[in-house]
Amino acid sequence: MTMPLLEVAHLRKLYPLGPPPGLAARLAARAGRPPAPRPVLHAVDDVSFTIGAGESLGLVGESGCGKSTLVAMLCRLSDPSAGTIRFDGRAIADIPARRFARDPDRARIQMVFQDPSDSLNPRHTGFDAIAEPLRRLLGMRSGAVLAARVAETADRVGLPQALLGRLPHQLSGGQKARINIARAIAVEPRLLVLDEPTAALDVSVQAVILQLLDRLRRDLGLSYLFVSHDLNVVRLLCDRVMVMYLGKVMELGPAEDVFHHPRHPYTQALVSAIPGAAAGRIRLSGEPRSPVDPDPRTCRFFGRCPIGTARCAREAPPLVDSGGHLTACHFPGPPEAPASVA
Amino acid sequence: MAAALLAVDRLSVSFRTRSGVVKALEEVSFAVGRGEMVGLVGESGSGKSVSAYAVMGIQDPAARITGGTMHYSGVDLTAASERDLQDLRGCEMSMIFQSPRTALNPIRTIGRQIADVLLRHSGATTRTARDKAVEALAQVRITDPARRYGAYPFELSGGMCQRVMIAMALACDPQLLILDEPTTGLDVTTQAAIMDLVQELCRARNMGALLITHDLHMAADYCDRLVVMHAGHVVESAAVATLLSNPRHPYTAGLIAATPAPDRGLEAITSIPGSLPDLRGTLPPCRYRQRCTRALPACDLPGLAMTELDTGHLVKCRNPL
Repeated sequence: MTMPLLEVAHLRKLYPLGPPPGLAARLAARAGRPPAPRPVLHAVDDVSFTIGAGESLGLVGESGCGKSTLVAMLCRLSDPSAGTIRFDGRAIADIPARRFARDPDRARIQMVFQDPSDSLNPRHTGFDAIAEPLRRLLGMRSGAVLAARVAETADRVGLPQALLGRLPHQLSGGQKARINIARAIAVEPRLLVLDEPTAALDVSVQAVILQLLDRLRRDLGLSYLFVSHDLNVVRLLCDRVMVMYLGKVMELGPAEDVFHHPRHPYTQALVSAIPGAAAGRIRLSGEPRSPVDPDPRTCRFFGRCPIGTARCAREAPPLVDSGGHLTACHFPGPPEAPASVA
Repeated sequence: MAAALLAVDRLSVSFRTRSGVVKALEEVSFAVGRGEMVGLVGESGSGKSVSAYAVMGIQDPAARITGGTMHYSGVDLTAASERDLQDLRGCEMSMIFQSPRTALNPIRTIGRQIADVLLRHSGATTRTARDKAVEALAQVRITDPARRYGAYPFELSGGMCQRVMIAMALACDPQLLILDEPTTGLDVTTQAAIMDLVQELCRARNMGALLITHDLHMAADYCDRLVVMHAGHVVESAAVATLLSNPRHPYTAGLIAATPAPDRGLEAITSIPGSLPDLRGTLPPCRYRQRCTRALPACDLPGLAMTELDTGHLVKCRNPL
């Protein structure tokens, strides 16, 4: 096997809560008395995965499960608390986010954000939006070279060049989505992180944008990390899918496998909740566990899990690999039969 | 259907704007019966929300109803005074809005907001309103309702806020519930839980419901009938199963083909060419004409109307599929 493009190991992001220790606490600490520990929110907890060159990995999970925190760390917009990120063989987790903005790898990891209207500067024309990363990251100054590159990128995403002079409010949702994709691929990245790229689009234009993304991946040999909670869309675009719940990976495997034969009870519930799903709906009851100082011995899904037992409260299940399909559950569902838990 | 709970008949609404009059709705007709959930589907800008706002009488000040009637169990809503509408709204008919976080008052506890509705409509006293509000919270399965009564919206998750909105909408036992994209921005698991709850409560109380959504799958899962809108026109309406298995209007067929489904690959989904027409100035009789692949010269002739092709299956097209 060749080396994966992105290799993430034991990545963690912890946010201490409450006020930092005051003067009294610091003096007490100096006197040898340990300060009372601050509560810690575990946003991303020990996440490991890889993305191969040209591969597309889907990331799904409810809001609050740590998807965005994970994405921010991978894009090096925030610093991990622990763990490593290797991009194309180079460890990039230790480079401070502030410095990464001027790192040569900045151009090679690019993002497409959720709302195409909100993520464009309202006072920048389509041309400016696409030219900005070229100027900043590739140092293109010359007008002619820059203009040629912008025009070429616009062609690639199917944006008519006549529209490059327009401001965002003069463009339709689909056209804005194309500009957002164009500005990300203009600097020739290897990895594209797509955060719900079609969530704000009408279903009538969603299909062309998805097909465009699929074609770009093939033509340019890009790798995708595709974040979405529309599982029907993830299935269309991804080779493998990673399911997160409260900062932990619950299941990771080939897309068709995960959707048709989900093994983790959470994935089963998620798949059965897709509108139009054929299988009977699994209702999750109970409140999610708190991500603040979670008990490391308890499964994160315990309490909402329809099949949880006392063992799940005592012993957190590790992520176990079985033929390339990883599941973190003591009682993984049948790998063959589809979910039929009523 | 003489006894429809809500009957909208040839409703036209236009907006006066600086750049001309926008004909947002033209001759829109649909009906919602008791115990029935009707889905209103279409792209954004097709007039779904405008229709709902017109029914509730809460449209934008620039909007004007230029024709047609709306009847709510016999009461003519177009002729009703603002006072009468105020008595109906929140009591007889209520609405659940798109983003629960912005629809709730951020500086008032959720319990108080529900109590406000009860105080206005049900003749409850300050003391009984509290108990009733707690009861309403319990009904939408919010755990520990007595404690949550004092919670502010920011303390609750999106799904919880939407439950509060449902509790508020149902507090006075309405007959008609309008849901404007009630689960946009919520997770699939939460979406399923919220919609199951709405469906269950609607059935238990024999309420009529109008579900506005752009998600055809969701409409298919919960609605009895679907009304498809495009650019301010109703283009097709039929029972859910009929409409999805046998769409007759090219736009409906296009919407279905554009929707990703579990059994469909990326090549199998297709976009609808073009975009909604500019709704200002004079418009062709068929507003789908420019995007349609089946257009005929006859499509430009005036007098296009809804035709019943099959029992209960109405289509506005000269060249139906």
